[in-house]
Amino acid sequence: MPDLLKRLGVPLLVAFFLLLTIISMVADRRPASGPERELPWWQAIVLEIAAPIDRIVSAPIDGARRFFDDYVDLLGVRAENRRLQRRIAEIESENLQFREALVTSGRLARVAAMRDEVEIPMLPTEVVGLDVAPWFHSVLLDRGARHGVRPGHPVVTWEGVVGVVTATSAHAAKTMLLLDRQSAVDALDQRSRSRGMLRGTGRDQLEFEFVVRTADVVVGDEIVTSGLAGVYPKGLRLGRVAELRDAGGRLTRIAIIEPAVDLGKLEQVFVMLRRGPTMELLYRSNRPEEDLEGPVLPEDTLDDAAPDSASADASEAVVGEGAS
Amino acid sequence: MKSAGFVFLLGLAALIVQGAIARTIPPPWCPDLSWLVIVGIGLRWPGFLSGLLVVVPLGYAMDLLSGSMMGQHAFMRLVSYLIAAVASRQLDLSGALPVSVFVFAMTLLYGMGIALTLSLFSGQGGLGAEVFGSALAHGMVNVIAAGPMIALVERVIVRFSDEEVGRHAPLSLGSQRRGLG
Repeated sequence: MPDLLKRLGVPLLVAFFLLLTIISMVADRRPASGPERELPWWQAIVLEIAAPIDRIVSAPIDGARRFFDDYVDLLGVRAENRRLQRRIAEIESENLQFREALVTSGRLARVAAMRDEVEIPMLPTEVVGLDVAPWFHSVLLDRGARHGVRPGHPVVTWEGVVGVVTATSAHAAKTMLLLDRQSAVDALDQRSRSRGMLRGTGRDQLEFEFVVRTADVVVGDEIVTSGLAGVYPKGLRLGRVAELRDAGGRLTRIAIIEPAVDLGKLEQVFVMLRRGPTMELLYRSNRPEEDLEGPVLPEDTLDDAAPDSASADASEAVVGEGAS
Repeated sequence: MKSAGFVFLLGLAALIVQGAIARTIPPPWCPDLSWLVIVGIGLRWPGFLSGLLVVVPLGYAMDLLSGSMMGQHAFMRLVSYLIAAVASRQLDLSGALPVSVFVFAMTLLYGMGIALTLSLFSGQGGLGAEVFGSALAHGMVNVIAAGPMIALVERVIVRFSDEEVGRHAPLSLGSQRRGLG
């Protein structure tokens, strides 16, 4: 028996480890029934170590790049200033007209009241690490559960959507970018209101698959979040239509989208401290009281965080987002 | 045991540093340093079993920092290690050219493996021209970084181990033992 164990020990161990990794992959595809993505300490420790070291390693490189960028920016600052002043004047004029229209229709007070309700707290955070494997698109942020970041929170910049938080430790968060093959966002053509699904392709562009083949989508249209899937609030910029293609005999058509955000040059991003009902189902917590604590979550999202009410809240939240 | 610990720390350090480097040199042009450490362990580590015990946690650590499914990199890194360990015992992979060819072929295989496991377990993607293109570019970059990284693994093993580097004992793989030895 000991001789047999000695002979088969290594092959058995190899088979065990191979099986273990395969089981891990299968388990990872069942997030609703599996463990929550706020990582256990023995997994979180890797993120906890990586985030500060990445920040230290990045610091000199970032410093040199910022210095160069600042110098280049200075070269065109006068022309840019003139252009921006003209643009501000145009926008102020437009704004005045819109206010006038709102006042005349008696909706200004209602809009002002609604703004307080829908405003989502934003947490500024630094991108400290990038996924080195070219087959995935994710980044490591230097803020985590201690700062109120939870799996399912949208990540944005002033230009548009970046992605969604998929796992957190106390002081770090992993974020899946829009470009990742596993990413899909319910989206709208801002001009024609045609609806479809925006998918990551693993390349530098996105694919917008229309629900209706005859949908009115043309090159140059802005694509924004629909708010219907409950992950992102409605109206966030996703990208611009660069090209239209037939989807290989399928009933749908595909538009190639240039992302609104340059996802290869992310530095500072904002985590929207709010979680939609769809993500609530995916990242269901085993300990609801943990989701409810923390000073950063606004009161109106606390009900959404309770797992029992997640599915019931979904339809209401969708209606709410659609209306906003 | 001490050398296993230090090689593990080297793999972990490579994993963390490559994430920061990738912000300046984006993938696929950034080498996968931690994978090269694993290939180095497969090619140069004297003990098969202790190498195995170092490689699996490093694979899972990569999964935690990457956008992959949990276990995906761990699986592919384990396969890479097994292939490297067997190849080093069957082929002469001591020169720069054979190692470069091996690393390039293994990077292509790694890319295909990632695409296939992603397609199999999540239904996303699959093998396509872009996967192949990324793997080709990544392979070239990995070949450039392979020499220094494998030399570094060798140095760590030599520094902290009494065993002679590069001389591998035959693998104890049950009925296959005679064939591999």
